[in-house]
Amino acid sequence: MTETDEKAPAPVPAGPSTGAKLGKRLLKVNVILLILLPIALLYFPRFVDNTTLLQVVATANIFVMFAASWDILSGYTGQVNFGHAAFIGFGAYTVALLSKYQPAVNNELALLIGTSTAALLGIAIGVPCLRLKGPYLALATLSVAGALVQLTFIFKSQTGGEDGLANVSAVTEGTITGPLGEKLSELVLGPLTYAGLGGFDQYIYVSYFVTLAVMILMVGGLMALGYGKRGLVLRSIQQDELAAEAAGVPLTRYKLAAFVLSAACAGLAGGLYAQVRGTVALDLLAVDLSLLVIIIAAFGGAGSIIGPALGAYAVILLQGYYLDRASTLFVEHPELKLGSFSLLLIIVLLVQPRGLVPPLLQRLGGKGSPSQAAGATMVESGGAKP
Amino acid sequence: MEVAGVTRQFGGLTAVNEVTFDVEHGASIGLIGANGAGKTTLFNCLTGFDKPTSGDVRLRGKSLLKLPRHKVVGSGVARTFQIVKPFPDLPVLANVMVPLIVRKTKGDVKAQALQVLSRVGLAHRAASPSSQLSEGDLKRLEMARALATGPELLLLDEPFAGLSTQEIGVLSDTIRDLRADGVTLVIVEHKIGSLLKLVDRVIAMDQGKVIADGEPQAVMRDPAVVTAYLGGEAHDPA
Repeated sequence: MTETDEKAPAPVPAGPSTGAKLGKRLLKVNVILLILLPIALLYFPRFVDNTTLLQVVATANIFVMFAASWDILSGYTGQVNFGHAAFIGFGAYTVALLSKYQPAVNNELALLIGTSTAALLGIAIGVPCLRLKGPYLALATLSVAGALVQLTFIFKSQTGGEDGLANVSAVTEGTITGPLGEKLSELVLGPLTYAGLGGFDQYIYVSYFVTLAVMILMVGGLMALGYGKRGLVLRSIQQDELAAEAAGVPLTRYKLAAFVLSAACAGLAGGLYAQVRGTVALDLLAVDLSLLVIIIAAFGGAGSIIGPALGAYAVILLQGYYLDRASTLFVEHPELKLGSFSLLLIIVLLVQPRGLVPPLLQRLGGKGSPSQAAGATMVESGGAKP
Repeated sequence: MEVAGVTRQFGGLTAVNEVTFDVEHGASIGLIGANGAGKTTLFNCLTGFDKPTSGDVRLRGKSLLKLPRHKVVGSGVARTFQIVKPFPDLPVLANVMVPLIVRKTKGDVKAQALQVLSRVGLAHRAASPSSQLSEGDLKRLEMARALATGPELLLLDEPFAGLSTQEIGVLSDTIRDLRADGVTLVIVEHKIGSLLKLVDRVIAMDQGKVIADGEPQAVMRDPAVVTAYLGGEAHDPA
């Protein structure tokens, strides 16, 4: 292009048509993801008569929340949290302890309290971590999770130490989650089929639908945020903090808000996990879990919410179901799984540094990254092409 | 903006020493000086990116020094960076949307961002990832993003550094347009010839001090400036 071109007056998009065209453009792929995928997941149990697999997918629903909640902080603002398990475990232990010491507190209130305490932990960690970057932030977040593990030993009689806590009020006993899970089970399976199931199978179906419902709400909310204007501001922080400040971004407010939101979502997911499993143990605070969440997010594509969400299904299904069936090696040495995922991740990231999902979405004609959704689409519809 | 006795010391080194000047509304000021004269340090002090050891920087009578950076920006002082700092993975348009979003501007943010881009002649690149822009376009993007903060005063840190003569010409036109729009400008620049065509006042610094301040022609003929900055040779600004 010539220099004179650059001085030419730019086409300013006409008002009403812009929104419509933008909508159409985004609809192309996002309809599939945001409407068809939840529907597919909702009706999945009807066609898959395999409660073991269903149980694994229910766990995957939880891990989707772990990964998506990690992503809104680390993927979006670039503050890489190496101790996400701290928030997950905090929510889970809060729910378990309430169940043990305050059995009168119903499940939903327990979840709310677990979410709030995790959010408070988010503030407690987020404030001192605001000034930390890169490896220092990683070490700080990592050590918080480590400190929480030590706390469970110090308060062994309350937390159960290495043994953890059992008999957490089950998801089926929730005043909202119980009936909701049953309703959805009856809707999808038919009332007669559901009634004819054994108690344990019913429990699996209820777990599946409750985790699915909470997951859809959480991921939907995080995507709305991430792909919207606020998400763009979060991304600008990840891109260059000084430049973001020069653009007028209140860094502290946005970073802390991301920290707290991430922590709260992780706490909710952790608490729900406790109610689904019926137990909490140190695996919910462990470094392994923090690492697995990062692996999932990077594998799927950090900074896109949907990437880590889909990554969670891939990794958890492999880990909890398909690998065990692929080779007895993984059954005998379950520790090989995390190792294999790390290796797989290295390969994926060498080939596709942005993770698997965002480039895939772009190829499908949609917009994989929130920034592009926010920026490019509208301009194309406005008539200015590069 | 009033700059009142601004001093910035780094340990024993006084980078900026008792600098005082006023920036009138609508003015266009060039800030010159040899490397190490303290221009960039002063620039950072004016924009909230550094805190003076003593002195004050006021806008409309209110001190900017206690404000966090984003509030300095919010009160109407915007800057660009000498080494451009785009949000590389975001499209050009999104780069400019960020300041508009945090300003909570009313109406269609995208349309407004596109308008800002057209002010600097970059609207045709709105959809490109900013990592694909040329150096000249990146300088424009810096300006567009700063303009989108809605500044009363725009400080440009070496806008011409790293640009070809042709690119400088085009960017100069853009800066002239901004001036015509009434944007108050402070421009730090080494390329004096290009700078003098854009400003109606020049402040020359040497070793942290202001050594001359006034009409461009007069400042360039000032013996102190000639000695300190131009190595003893008189400079013909034409």
